[in-house]
Amino acid sequence: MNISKVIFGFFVMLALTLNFGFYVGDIHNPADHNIYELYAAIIVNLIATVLKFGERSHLGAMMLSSSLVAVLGLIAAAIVWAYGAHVEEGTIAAASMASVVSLSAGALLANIISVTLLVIESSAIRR
Amino acid sequence: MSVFTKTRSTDTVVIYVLRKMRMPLIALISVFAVAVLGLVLIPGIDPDGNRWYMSFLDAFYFVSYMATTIGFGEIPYPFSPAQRLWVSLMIYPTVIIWLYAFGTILTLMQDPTFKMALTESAYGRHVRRIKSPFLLVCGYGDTGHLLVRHRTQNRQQVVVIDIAQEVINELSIEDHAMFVPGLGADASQSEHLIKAGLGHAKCVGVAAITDDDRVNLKIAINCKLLNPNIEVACRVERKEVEANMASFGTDHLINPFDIFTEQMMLSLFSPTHFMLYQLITEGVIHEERHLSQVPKGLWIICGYGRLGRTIHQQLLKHGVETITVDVEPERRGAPSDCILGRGTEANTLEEAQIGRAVGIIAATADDADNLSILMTAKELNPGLFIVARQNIKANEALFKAIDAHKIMQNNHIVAREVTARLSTPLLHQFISHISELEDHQVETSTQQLLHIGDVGDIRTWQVCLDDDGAAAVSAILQKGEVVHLNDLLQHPWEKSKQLPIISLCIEREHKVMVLPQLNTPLQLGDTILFCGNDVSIGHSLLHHHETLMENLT
Repeated sequence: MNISKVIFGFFVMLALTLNFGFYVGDIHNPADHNIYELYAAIIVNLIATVLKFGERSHLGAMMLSSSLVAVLGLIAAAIVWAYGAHVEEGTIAAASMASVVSLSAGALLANIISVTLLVIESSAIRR
Repeated sequence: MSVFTKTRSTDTVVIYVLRKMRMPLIALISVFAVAVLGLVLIPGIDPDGNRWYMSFLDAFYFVSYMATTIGFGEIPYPFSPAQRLWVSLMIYPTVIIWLYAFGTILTLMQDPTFKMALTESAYGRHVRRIKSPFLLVCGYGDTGHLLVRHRTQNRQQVVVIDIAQEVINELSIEDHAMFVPGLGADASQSEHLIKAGLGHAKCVGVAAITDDDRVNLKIAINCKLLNPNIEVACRVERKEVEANMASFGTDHLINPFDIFTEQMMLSLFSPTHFMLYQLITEGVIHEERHLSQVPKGLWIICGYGRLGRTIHQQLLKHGVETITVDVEPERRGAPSDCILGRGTEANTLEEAQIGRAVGIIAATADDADNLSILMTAKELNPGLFIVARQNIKANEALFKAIDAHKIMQNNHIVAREVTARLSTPLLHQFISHISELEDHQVETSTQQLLHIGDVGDIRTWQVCLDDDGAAAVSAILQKGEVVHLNDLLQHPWEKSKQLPIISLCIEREHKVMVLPQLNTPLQLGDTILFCGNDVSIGHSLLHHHETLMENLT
């Protein structure tokens, strides 16, 4: 067992699960989407991205790019949330919430690709 | 000290740097995440006594300016004691981690090997993007400098590679007419040559002109193995290396000593031929005093090295009496009557009978010795014909001051020869035939060129009669009509007038016609060597159908 591989797989999969946890629920309802979950998803996605720095294989490069897409989607969601909640008066509007959740849905797709690539890579290793 | 070894490739270096950045970045993200989360969770008390919670936006903003030690103050209200406790716990880790991450990344970015890798990949990009035919110059010394200057002035692309990075730095601040990509790397290694464009479709030639014969040899081998279609011109000074290079088909072997000796023999024994030679290679005639009056008599050769030996053999062949002077006559294989000594002292020169000598050649490898020999010789016999070998470019002023009749400058000879052979190969062929020409033929051509020279610059160039080189001529020849050489040299609107251009030779199916008649009918695929003033009407005749028809009808 390779401990660095465990850590790597842990972060990649945690990124996906947190992202999914934030995404599920009614797209317009702020009560269905926890801001702490979005925060955790961003931090874990950032770490997963940095862990993929400097991979020389082609699969590694694809994983890095899918992670970058996920981080971009989640940060965009956070910015939309901050804008909706603080710049415009009062609590976050249903329309802003919808775009936050849809952006996180995009990031979710990228995270699914990332995990798929991880599975492909580990199945390619000979026993 | 660099953290990388020299052998790592660019790719490896970049990957290594990225991997080294993982740890500091993860540490930075984690510490920031904890600090932000704490601020969001810990309640504050506003001036009215209500509990409030910091938003993620405010928390991230606060931590960012805390960690970077900017410190804008407590927002949006003064902090509660619980918040202050958390911030004072977090200030130290965030600041330390920030400095650590920032410092590590900055150090990695400034690593010389990493920077080198970036420059190398930028160089590779520049070379790949070249669209016009280019010459790869290996070695950017005095010779390389002259060659690059000459080619860029003629709007021809050049790429440079030299082992010394300082030289490449100099290249980047020099003012050439075009951008010249330069790489500081060992040209004898094939990976560097490939990066410099050896396999590039537009690479037309390689000039191996470093000052080391072995390096030039390795470059030639690399080129012939990796891209046999490319023409290779090699500077070579030792005979055994020259034979080695010739054995695997190096296209042009440039031995500055041989070339100088040939020129010198031409100027001494066929001055009229030499005048034509100077006109077509340099466009001017340098005032050579006593050129026609070089008396037959004793010549003293000081230094029996590579130059001394070549000149000695050639003078013997022409039946000239010679005497040699050298410090180590046995080791260098000098003739038995060689006089022992440097030639810098008066008694050695007197022993060599300087009193009755007509010429002296200072051919040692040391510039100071050469200058000293010539100064002593001039004192002993002011009427001597003086030939000097200049080894270092920086001594140019000294050699000018000694007022020698002929100075051998390695760099100029090699640079000119490389240009001539790679851009106008026909000129080289013509020169090799020049000594076979009759005196009156040479005289006529020289007079014509001198006449042109009074009006404008003299240049030498070659034209191939095909769709690229001469579109109009090639179209008419393809129709089966006849074009004579004269049709390309006559003024299209003033029939009695000739253009200020002469034709030196025509190459047809690997045969060379030297000084062709004006009524020679031309064929498709002929290559013609022109010399004279490169006027635009000459170009029109080659490319513009209507202009050419003026001369044909």
